Amino acid sequence: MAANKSEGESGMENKATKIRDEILYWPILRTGKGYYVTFTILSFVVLFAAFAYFQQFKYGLGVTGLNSPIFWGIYITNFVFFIGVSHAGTLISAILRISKAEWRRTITRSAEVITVLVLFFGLGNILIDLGRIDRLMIVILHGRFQSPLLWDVVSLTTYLTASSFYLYLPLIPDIAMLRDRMPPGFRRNLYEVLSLGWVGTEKQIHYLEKGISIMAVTVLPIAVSVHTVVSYVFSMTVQPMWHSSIFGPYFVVGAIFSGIAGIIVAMAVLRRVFHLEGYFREIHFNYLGILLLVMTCLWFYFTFCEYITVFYGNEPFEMSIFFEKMSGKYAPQFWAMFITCFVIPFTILVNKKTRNVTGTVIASISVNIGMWLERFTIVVPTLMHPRLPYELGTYHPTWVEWAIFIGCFALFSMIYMVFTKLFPIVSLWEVQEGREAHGEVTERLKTYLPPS
Amino acid sequence: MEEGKASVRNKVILGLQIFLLACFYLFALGVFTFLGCAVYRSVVNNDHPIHAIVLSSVISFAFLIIGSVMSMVFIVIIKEGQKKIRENGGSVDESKI
Repeated sequence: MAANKSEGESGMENKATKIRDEILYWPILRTGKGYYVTFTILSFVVLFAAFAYFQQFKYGLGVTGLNSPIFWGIYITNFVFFIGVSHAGTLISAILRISKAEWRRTITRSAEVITVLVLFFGLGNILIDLGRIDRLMIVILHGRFQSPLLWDVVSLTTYLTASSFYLYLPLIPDIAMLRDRMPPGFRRNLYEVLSLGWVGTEKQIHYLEKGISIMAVTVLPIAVSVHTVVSYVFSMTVQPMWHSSIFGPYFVVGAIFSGIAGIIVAMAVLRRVFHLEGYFREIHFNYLGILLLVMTCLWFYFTFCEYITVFYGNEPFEMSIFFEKMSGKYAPQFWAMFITCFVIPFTILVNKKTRNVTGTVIASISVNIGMWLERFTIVVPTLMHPRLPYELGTYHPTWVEWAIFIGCFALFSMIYMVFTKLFPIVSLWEVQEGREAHGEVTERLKTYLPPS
Repeated sequence: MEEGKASVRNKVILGLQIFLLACFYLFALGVFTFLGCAVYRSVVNNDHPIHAIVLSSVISFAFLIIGSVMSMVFIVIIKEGQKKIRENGGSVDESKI
């Protein structure tokens, strides 16, 4: 009788759980008017960006503000920024998964998607910067491993491959759930292929979890190496204020910083649009806010180290760029960067009362703006004052560059929207597994403490 | 008739799943070829071959790990799924998770 009662209770609990998670299927099964409206607006922005790119393709890089000696501008800034944001998935998902942080369960998917998507945009900006994309073949056919540019190519390819699989593996059980719900048709066939015949046998679960664990460990050093190598593109030259030994860790810290900010913004949008308040809760924003606060302090420390070393070195070429940033042409961007990367997020996040959903989102938007400006103030002012006897350069981005810049964000949003229409943005099976893991968590907690 | 249709459908789906894995192998093969060519050029031209050998080894190692994991996961999941299909005598049943 008691067994029957408990069986009945557990059945009801399962039913309640399924009904509770129903909301996660809504974006896939229903499409509201708002979705079409947003998609149409974004499509127009992307079309305008495509037109701008067509102009550049037709008339060459002359339609941009790039010139000699400032041959890198917004596109390279975007490249470094997007690669930085891609660290969202790696940090949130891989580190939290390895450390078995239970609060990760609802947020990993949205972070992993960001990683894969923005990597494409990072690489895309490089191709746009090439002017003629057929020049990519030169790298493939005649690439030399002495060049940090080739290190970038291979490390980014490895990172993209690893993070794509790291996104796909935890998706398999969720795709199987969708396969079982879908009526016959194209989407059911798609899910049937992508689910690989997942039925949730013990062997399948064991190997999938093993695969995810190995990928989590593999993707971490790859991610760190990627942003280190991105920094080497600058620091392996002898250009003033680029040739710095801390550029590798400085870039990695900046990447994790903007990555966390990126995931907070994405979570806030998903929470609002799909009513996922129950999945992206205050506590997630609070924990991520604390992480962001730590990264804010680390970013300040690295920035301080970088600039104080240059100042005390007092090397003439470096000082000209230093003063260009402090009080010269790029002072507005530099001080805006300082305010948005440190002053605003630190003030908001250090206070427990303001470290709520609204506060962390404001801080994150501020950080993302600041990190883009940081990349810009690293790339452009140095090229303005080259070591070689060029004339002092000036750089004014044209409408083509701004249109492509905005188009990148619009296209990213569109692809993210399409992803939410095809796959659950919260890992369903991990949430369900988490609900059933009370015993395991309690046991694990006991192992942390001295025996009573 | 229906059983025959289901069997053909399952074969097509299995074929596509294997095709996905084959696409990855093809991509990995492309990467290895690229690395091999770069190493070959640097050795033949005596163009700092150590650079090329060290970096290619690191990237190859990473791809070998990714390749092994993907093969393991794909093969086990697909095999288990096929076993289930044979047991049911038709299509894959509802997910147990």
